[in-house]
Amino acid sequence: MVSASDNFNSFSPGGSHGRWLRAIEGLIIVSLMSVPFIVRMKGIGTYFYWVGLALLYLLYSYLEVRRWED
Amino acid sequence: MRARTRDQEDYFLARRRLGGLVSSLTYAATTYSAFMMIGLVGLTYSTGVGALGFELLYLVGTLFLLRYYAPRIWELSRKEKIVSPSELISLKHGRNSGRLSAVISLFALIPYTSVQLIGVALLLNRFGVPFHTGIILTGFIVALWGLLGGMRGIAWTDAFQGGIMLFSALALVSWVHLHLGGSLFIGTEEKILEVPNEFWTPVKFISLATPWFFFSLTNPQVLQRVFVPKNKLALGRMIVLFGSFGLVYTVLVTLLGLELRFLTENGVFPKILDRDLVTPTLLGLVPEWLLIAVSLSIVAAAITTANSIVLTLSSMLSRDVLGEKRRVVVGKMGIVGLTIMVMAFASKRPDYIVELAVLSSTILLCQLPSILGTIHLKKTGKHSSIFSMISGFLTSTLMAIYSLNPLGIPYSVWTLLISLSVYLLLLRLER
Repeated sequence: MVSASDNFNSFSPGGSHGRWLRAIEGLIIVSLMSVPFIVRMKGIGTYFYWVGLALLYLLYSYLEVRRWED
Repeated sequence: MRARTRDQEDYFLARRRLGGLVSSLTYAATTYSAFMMIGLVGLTYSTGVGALGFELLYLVGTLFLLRYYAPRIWELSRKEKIVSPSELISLKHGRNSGRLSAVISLFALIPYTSVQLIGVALLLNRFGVPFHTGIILTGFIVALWGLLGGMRGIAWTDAFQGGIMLFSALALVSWVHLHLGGSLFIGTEEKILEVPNEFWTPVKFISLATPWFFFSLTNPQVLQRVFVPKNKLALGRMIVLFGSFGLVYTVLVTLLGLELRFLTENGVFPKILDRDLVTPTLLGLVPEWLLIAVSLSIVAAAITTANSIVLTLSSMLSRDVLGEKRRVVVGKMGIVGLTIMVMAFASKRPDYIVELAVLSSTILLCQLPSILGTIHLKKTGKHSSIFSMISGFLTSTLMAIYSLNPLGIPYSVWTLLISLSVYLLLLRLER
């Protein structure tokens, strides 16, 4: 089944190369979120680790979304 | 209002003309619900810091997926005049696939929507309102809101109520810290501040976090919100502002849960065994102004989520199941019918809030291969989509009913693996 919107796939940013980079980015972020299950952190270390990581990722997302304005 | 709600695109999508700020707040208010202030506070209180990781994995997953997929989905929805999320699946997999997706969403989102009604009813119960009366009252407001305003009305009230949610969470955490003597949980039991612990084993974390990670693509009520920003700039702002809201709100809510746990260990706050009653118990201790503000915010969070879901489901019922793509009246009748079903389910209070919410998203995981196929593939097949959804749906529901985790792998992961395998296998055969 092919639809009229097939050409939609043509503007995939970075093509298949970009797709792989995105997949790697997803794997990295999931792995980093899983670190506290592997490395035991003392006290409130886990709390600050997760919040810090999410904050950094939000900042990274902000910088990338800003490129849409160009 | 009547003059504005002429057709379905206006009623369900506010004519795709929302700005970035309103889009972000309606996205946030739709996503963050009674689950947060009641469910997540209680989960953090009883199981510890793992609840923060679970919720933040949702947030980073959403940022990751929206940055990549939202521009494509937004553009596709405009080009093809897509109104209901299931039409995305219909586009490349045929009408029956979209219809099936709509039916599965209707089935899956009833538990999640009932969570909102249960949350408000539990809260009202602390003020002497019988649980079932609370369910009926909340259901009535949910239906009324959707019927009156459609997407435009809901989006603007979401924006206002999102502000109330954030302010009241901040006020409650500050009050607990200053008046009950919380000390940023320093000295709290180590097992609460560490993962893995008795509750947050790696398997449990994966089990709960997998459907949460893909929430932004599989849950139609949030997927539909990607259609509404007026341009790409507004879409980008929606993503970043939503992420900022989500991070602050998650930090406040989990901080509250950990502070209360610390206070319980020090004999200041009573020990609560039913985790969904932690926040209602706390509200019995706070001053009246804060009680009103927080109660309002919980009611607002619950109602904004519930009416957004009911509105989205009614668009799917009207367009995908019944094939009515012009008149709004069918969607409005859907709102009434769906609300009654949700009230009936909620009145039985079947499980903890968090578990019910995750169950809904696990069932919806079966749609992920078809959604990704729509975006990534040039050629697809209708059988691959239909059978992957059926197999994923059966896997999730049967494993949930019988509490099965074969080979120690969580049933949410099985749902994803099976639906994806069936999709790819049949796609290969169909080609």
